[in-house]
Amino acid sequence: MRTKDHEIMFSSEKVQEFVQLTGERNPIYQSIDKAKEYGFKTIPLPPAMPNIVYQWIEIPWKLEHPVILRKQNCVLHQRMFIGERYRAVVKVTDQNKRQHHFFVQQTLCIYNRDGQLCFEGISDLIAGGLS
Amino acid sequence: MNILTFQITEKDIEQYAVISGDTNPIHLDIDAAKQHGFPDRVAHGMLTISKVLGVLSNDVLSPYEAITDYNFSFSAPVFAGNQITLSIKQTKNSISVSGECEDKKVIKGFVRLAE
Repeated sequence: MRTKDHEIMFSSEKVQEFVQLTGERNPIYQSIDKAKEYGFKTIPLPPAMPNIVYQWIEIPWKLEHPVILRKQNCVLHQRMFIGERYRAVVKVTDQNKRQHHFFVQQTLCIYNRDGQLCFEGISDLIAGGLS
Repeated sequence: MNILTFQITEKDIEQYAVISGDTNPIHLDIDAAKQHGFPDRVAHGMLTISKVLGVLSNDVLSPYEAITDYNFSFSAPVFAGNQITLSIKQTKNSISVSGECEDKKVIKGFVRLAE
C-alpha cells in the first residue's frame, strides 16, 4: 500500500513554531541571515521536522486507535530547506498481527525536485487495527 | 557521559498536535488515554524524539553539525508532565542516548553525524 505523491513546502514560520516547541536555540533556524552566516543558502529544517508532513498527505488506509510509535528510524540523505518544493509519499512497508495488536511499519520518503531522496522516515507502530 | 534533562508538558503535547496534525485522542484526552489503559495523556513519540534532538542541538552539537540519521525505540510511554533524564555518550561520529523517567527506561537510541 502506498499513497499518491504529494507536493510539499516548508515555511520559515513553521520552522519557528517547531523550534519554539523543541526549545532548539541553534541560530541557523532563527533567520535566513543567521543561516547564511553559518554557510547555508537559507534556513534548513531541524532533523525531526520532516515527519510533520503526514498531516498534508491523504492516506488511503486507516490505523485504528490507539496508535503508538514504538520505533523510529530516520535517514537524512540531504539537507532540506524552507521554500523548496519536495514530493512526499508514504508506504506500508511491513504489517503483521499478533494477538489483538497490529504491528505496522510505515515509511515516509521525501524527494527533491530532481527526484533525489532527501529524507526517509521509518515508523514502527502498534495500532488497534489496519483497514 | 553527559546527563541532561527536559520535560514534556501538557502544552507541549497540545502544541505538537497542532504542528503535526496528529490529534490521536490518547495524546489529548485523558479519558481516551485511560480507556486504553494509560494513566494520563501519552506524549507523541515524535515529540519526545524532537525534544531529545533539541537537547542534543543545544548542548552537544555545534550549529553547523549535521545529523545524518537517528534511530530511537521506546520501552515505555512518556506522559504529560514527565521529566526525562538523558544519559548521552558521544564518540567521534555518533551519539548514543538513553532516557529515563522516574527510574524507568523510556527511550533509547543513537544519532549519527556527518563526517
